[in-house]
Amino acid sequence: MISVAIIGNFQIGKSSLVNALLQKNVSQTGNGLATTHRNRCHKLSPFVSLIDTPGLNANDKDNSTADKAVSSADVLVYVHESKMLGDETKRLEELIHKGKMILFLLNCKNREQWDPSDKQNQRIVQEIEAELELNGILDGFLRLGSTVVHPVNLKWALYGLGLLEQKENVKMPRYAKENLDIQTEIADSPQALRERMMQSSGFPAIREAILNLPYLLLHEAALNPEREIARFVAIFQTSFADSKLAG
Amino acid sequence: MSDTTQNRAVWYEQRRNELLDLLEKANVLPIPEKYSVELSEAMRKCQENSFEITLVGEFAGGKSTTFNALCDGRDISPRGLGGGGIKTSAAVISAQNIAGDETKTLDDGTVLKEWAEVVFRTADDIILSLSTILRPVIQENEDLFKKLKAVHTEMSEDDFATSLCLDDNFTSLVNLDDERHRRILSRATDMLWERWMDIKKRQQMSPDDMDLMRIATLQLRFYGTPEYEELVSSPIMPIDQFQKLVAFPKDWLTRWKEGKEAEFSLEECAFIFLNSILVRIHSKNLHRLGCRITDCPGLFANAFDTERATKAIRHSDAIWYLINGEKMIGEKDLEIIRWISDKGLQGKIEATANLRGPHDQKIAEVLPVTQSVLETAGYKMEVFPYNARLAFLAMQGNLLLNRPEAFSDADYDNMLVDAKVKEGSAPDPEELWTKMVRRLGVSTEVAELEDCGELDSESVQFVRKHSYFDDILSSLEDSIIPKKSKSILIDNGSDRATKALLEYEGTLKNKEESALADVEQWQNKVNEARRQLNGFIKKSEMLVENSDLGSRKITELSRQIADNLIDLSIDDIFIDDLSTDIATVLVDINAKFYISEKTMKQEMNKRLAQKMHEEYSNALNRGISHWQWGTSYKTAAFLKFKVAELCRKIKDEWKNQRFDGSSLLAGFQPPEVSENEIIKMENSFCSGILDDRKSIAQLAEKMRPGWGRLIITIFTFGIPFITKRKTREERISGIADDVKQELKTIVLNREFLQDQAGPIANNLRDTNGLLTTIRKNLDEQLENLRTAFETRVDENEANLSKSTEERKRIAAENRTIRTESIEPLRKRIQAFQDTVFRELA
Repeated sequence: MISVAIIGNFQIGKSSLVNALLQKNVSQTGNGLATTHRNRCHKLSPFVSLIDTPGLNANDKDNSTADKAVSSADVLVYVHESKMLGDETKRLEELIHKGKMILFLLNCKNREQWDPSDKQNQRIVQEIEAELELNGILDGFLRLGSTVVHPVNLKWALYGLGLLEQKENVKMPRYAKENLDIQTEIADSPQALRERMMQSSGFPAIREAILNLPYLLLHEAALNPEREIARFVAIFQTSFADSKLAG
Repeated sequence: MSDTTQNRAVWYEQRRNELLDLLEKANVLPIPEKYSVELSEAMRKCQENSFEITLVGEFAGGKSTTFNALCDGRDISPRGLGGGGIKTSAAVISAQNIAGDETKTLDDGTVLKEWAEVVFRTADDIILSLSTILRPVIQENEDLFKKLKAVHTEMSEDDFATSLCLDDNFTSLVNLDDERHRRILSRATDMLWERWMDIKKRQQMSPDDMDLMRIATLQLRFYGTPEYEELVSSPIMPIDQFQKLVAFPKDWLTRWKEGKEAEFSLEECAFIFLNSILVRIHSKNLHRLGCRITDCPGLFANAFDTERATKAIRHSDAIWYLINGEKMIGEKDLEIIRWISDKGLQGKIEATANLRGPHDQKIAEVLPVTQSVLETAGYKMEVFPYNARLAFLAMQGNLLLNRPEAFSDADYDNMLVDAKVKEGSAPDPEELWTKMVRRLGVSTEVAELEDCGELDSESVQFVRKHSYFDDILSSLEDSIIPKKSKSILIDNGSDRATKALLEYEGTLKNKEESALADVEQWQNKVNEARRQLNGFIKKSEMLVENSDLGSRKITELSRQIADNLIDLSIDDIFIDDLSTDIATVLVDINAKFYISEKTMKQEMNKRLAQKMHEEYSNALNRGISHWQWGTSYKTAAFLKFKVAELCRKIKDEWKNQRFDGSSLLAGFQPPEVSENEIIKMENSFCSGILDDRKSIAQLAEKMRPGWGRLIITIFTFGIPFITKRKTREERISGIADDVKQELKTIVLNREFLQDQAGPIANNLRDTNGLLTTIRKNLDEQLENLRTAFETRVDENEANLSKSTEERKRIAAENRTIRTESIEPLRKRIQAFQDTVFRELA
């Protein structure tokens, strides 16, 4: 069983991701306030379990709770908003040096550029990938297709799944009309719009990837055995250091 | 615009004009230079009317959008078009309104109605930024070390090695205009890139260092080229030209993926040579605020930007802090606020939460939490809701509506990108406006905006209202106007003028009276005044000596600061660094063959001494930086208070003398430390006293008490372990661990630390600029008072010997000047001052 910890700054969409993956509202999502303060495990499939973690950067207690989840996880899903990394590069470097494989999601929360396929988002993807490469850590990220940074809109995914609150459900068609070039007939049919938003959200591919993580990891390992060994050594060293500290 | 605020702004302008009027009148009067200098200085300050607000916040937090909204909606500072999230501007940009119809004429005769004044980085400035990253490379590499040493034939190798230990010395070692020096630096950069090419070593480089490495590469590539010379030859330019210079290169990181050969034109990356820019434009908003507004790069995004933002923040009079209003305040914002507060600048903060997403929800649920988090953390500040995008949109609406001369096609195109209009279809302004407002209406969930409709002043006003822009401006004005009034209308204006005129009046009155008095009566008066003056001076000197400016107190303070510095410097980092250094030296020496143990020991001694010196300098520098950004502000604030108290006491003493209007001391002012002087003291206290880092290097050289013991310990501890381990790294880290333990017991010992603090304290006491300048200033003022008094006596005595007729004429003449021109004007200025005081209250 592979355990996947979902980490990132507070109010960035981690709990939304958990809900979308489980297709059920199990985690409370907030609207500007940090909501998750404990690590919670959820079983996604017989092979994959998810750990929803408290957001980083809100307070020390939440940070250290999330740290614990990181050490126990096999794979990390790092959720970031649609902007350059800034000093979060250092945080990612540390995680990579701990030997963690990371799936990098860019949750397009900014309503100015809500569509994951928006030009600005594409530029950000490109720049973040360049930054990871310039720092020599690009290899530590899980590659899906040709990219390692994956823009998604988790709110749209939740809407597509019918998991948004009633109030927000009502607003979504209006947003869609303004933000996406959607024909009126689609916008006016709830079912059609749901499907369309789900497609545009970029989420289905991510869900596929997370469900298939065991195979993906094997595949990665087969492609690049050397890196796999290096990663294993790093994991071993960190856990060794941890146990030494504990002892 | 709320009535009260508008009234306040109008009030301030009225009062300022009034004062200018009065000062102008004063300036045309035939007044001796001694007093007229003061009057014209007051007038200059009043005309300049300068005040600066700096926009501060996290990267991509809406600073540039706000800046442009303040520039009436024009795209002055490059911002994220069609969204954000990518760095767009890389320079400190300020904007100031052009009052009246001032223009600027370029060398070629072009007249600019609006313009930008660019300050380029000086060569020293560039070298300092190169130093952070290139100096260590040169230090470590024997070849480069020798090459640079060869240029400095005048220095001994030891001296050279010592100076190379510090960033601040780098400017004296390197001359960017010398081809040879540039070659050495380029080679050092190349070596960094070689390191970078190795993916394992790349992972060890910090993101900050890599950023500096890229910038250094470009700086060295372009410095001294003809394009560069052309760029820096014209610091004044039209608005559209400067924008090209400050824009951050597109796809900056993507293009560096190939390594050091990445292609950039100088025009694209001119930001590496920019220091700051002042844009002078016609803007209603800036006119309303009546001050300069500064947009600085995001804090803590990278070292290059943080350094410049820091400078801008320190010079500002007020800070507009933009918190992300989408979610509750996080650690990053708190860290920045803490950092500002540590500098004693918290009072200057005007905090706003830049709303993104639904307004009602954010204001009702998120803002109160942010407010309470701030309160819990001990910051008393009210956070106002605000929407930068809407504020900017309202200004854009104004532009669309009024189409001013400055509004260009390029601005219109930018709006199309903002509205995400498909390429090829260009809607008319009406349509564009509706689209832009609707989009933002949807994302802010302000229903009224969604169907706000047509482009007219009403709908523009509507958008403006929902941006809360005016509320913020009013609040800023509320805090600015009293500060400005105090500084410009009173302290530097009316008060200064009144004092000068009063003294002149006193002189005139004395002349008049002495001309009419009989000799004996006059002599008595002189003696009485002299006695009073001497009494006062003696008393004041005592007050000064017993205050914090007294020599005993200065010694105490120096000691305190030195202890503090040592505490901050000699820490775990120092011990870690030093033990690794020592271990490296031991291993390296051990790996080489030496003819005799003696030569080996000599070599080792030399290298160890050099390393210690270096680490000690580093540690002290680190300590000083910590101190400068930390305790120094609190100490300075305390001293400021003490100096003010001392001045008050001296003033009271002066009042106690109770001389009448005809006394020979009439019109003189007691010594006082001006606010300017205090600010200077504060600044120099926090940055200047140890700014001369060269003296730190020399100081570090002197600090040897206790070092001898260290070296002995190292010998006994280091060597036995050397052969036991395998790889070089392992051996170094092994020895370092052992040495570290030993170092700790020696170094973190109270006695040892006190020994170290001694010389620093002496150095501070003898050279410090913190209080001695103020002390000297006060002493000088007392002395000047005496001289001025004696001059007055002499001038008057000359009149005593003249004929009665002549004396009558002199008396009449002086009386006329005094009563007809000086006194009435002085009274008017005083009345003005009273009015301002009353109205401010």
